[in-house]
Amino acid sequence: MPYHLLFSRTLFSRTLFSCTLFSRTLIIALCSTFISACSISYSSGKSSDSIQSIFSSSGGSQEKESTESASLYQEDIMAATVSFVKTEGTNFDFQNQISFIAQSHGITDWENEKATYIAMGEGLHQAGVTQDNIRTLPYFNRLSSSSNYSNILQAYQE
Amino acid sequence: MSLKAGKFYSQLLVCFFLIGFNLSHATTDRQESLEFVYVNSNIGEAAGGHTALRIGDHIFHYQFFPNRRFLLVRDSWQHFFFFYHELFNRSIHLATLKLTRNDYYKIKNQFTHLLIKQQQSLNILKEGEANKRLLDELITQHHFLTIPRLGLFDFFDESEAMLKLLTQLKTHLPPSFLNHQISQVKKDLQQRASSLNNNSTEQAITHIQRKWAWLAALQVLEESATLNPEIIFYPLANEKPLSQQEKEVLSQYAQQLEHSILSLLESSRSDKGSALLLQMAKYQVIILSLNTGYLTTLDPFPQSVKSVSINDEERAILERLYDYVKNNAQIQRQLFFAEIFAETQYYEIAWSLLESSRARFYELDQGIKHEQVVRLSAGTLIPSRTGKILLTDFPIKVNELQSLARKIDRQYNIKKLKIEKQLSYHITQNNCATELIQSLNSAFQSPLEAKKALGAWLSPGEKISFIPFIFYQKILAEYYIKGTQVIPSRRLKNLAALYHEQPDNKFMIWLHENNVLSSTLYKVRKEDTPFLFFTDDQILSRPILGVINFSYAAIHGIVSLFRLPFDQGDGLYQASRGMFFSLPELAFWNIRKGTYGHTNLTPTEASP
Repeated sequence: MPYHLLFSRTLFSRTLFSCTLFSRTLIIALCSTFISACSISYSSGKSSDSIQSIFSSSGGSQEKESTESASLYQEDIMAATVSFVKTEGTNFDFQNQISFIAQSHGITDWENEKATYIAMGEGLHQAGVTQDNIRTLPYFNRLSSSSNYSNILQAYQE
Repeated sequence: MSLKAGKFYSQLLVCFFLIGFNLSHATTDRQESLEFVYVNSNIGEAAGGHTALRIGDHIFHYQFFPNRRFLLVRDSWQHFFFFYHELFNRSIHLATLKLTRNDYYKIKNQFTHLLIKQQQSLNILKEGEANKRLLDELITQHHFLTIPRLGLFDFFDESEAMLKLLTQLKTHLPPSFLNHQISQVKKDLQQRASSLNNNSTEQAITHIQRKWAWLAALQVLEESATLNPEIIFYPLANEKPLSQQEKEVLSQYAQQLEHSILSLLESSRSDKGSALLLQMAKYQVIILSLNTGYLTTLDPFPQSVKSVSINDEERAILERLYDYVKNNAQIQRQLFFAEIFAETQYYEIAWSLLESSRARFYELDQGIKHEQVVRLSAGTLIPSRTGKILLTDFPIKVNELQSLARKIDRQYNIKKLKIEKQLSYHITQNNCATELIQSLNSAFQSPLEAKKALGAWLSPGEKISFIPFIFYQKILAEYYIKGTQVIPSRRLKNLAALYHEQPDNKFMIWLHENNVLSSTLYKVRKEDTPFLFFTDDQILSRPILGVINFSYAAIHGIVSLFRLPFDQGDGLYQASRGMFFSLPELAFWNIRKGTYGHTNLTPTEASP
């Protein structure tokens, strides 16, 4: 076959392929753009979906829920402590945050939960606070004379 | 061999050794892993697909909420899987990224931190709303104030349990402690009231709220107020009485609550009033359980909770859910009473789970039996019934308060705008893919650090990676992905199982299952758009089947025109969606896969 014809055929098929690919990409992109609306919360849809979602809301292994919740509680307290140190928060704001986190995990009297202080200790360690500086921080300066302070230190050191 | 060549080869050997050592070290150093999750498309929510990050047993992903907020959500993997795989019938793609322990915890902690920070923003709004309500009440009502959790009590009767508790507490507290505390807080409130003016801060108003709650709690204790009978969930039908062991556990929890109440009385927490009210209510309900010999709990539904009148469809859902919810309530009961044997006891959490599960079952039970309105509320339920307290010795300067209220309102609106802008959704700039990568990047100090950990630095939304599918492909191409897994959608998984059972009959099975009319694996639902053929498991025939699906939906549309006065346009809407979702099929693409309703509701069956 003459070279120029072969070239033309190749060029034609390439062009056709490109057009097909382009149109496919365009349609996909258009459709996906139009409908790339990300997930809507399961419990917020119409009432039949809400009922379904809410009554089956535990979802995970039911036997694990209490310890799983406790573990998540500690993770959240740890993160809140890191945030408190980094933003140089006040005693009022920190306690507020702890109360909200505790409530979301079903805990009312967080001051009497050892897990609270263990998580705080871990958070302080993560935030890079030196052991000597802990008692200079708001909230912790009041706590330094209480028995819970030793739980904080123990977790900090571990 | 010459000396030079020998030296060269030995140097080469050393290089290979060092490279090998570093590679193996790098590999063994990456002990942890997380997974990028891509959920493919289907009609309905997240029609373009969805992305998430799986860290351990949890999923972090961004979801859109009806109040137009786009929020980071932490979900259990099983819950996520149940909805996307079992109900929404989507395939789930997982890409495993290996990380060093340090980087793994950096990412995990960062996502938790973002969750907490988001919660802080929402709390600011909640407190702002509470402050506005307080000022509004002071201005308009003058004599009464609403206190959360005060509604758990009834002042018309005395509780024997509370009288005994009070006697017990007095042995640990200084003499006249309660009277002293009450007069102190009243003086404090008077001072705060008189200093309330246009310059007062939001924090000052929050403190006043909390002081009132503290006063209310002290008065409940002083007067030994009994529980409000409206908030008690008495034993359910056929619920068994408490065993001896269960009574021992409850006695232990009651003692713990006594200790908790005592320490709250001496606590320096500013919100101790609210906490004390709840602990006293819990204490009373525990004693009630011990006295009656049957488990009794508090009603934890919020007063502003959404209530749904049950129609036929919802009744069918509730009936299917009945055993599951009942079973869950029983399990939570067992778990609470087993807490005594746990290495570390979390009575509060276990009680809260028991209370929530019992309340939901109670609601479902009443809803089905008595066709009542059913209250719906997701998440952890904590009793919060409000009550009114009489405003005494609290001088109110209405003009000052009105001026303050206007100022607080302005400040609140500014904060609200700012926070809602931060939490807003945008289809290309602020969606599940862009926010996920933004959040991931924020775990690292620099792009270089991220590149070292992940394999690349990806900018949110670059080169149309705001589209979840494209985003996932970029992750696969550029990150240190060590393995991938595809969990086929529910229908495809079941179809594969059928093929496996009857390998000689594949064609007939395919013929049977490829359309909605004869399929045994899928039942037509009105929530799905009208279509005839499935195209998710075939590529070459997609355009032809797409044309048929489009035509089928179009015919539905024409028929729906006649139903317009009767169905408020639902049929026409579904038909037009049906035509729209058939279009990608013409370009060999598939979106629609059919969805499942409440036919399979047991999340435990949904585990992969």
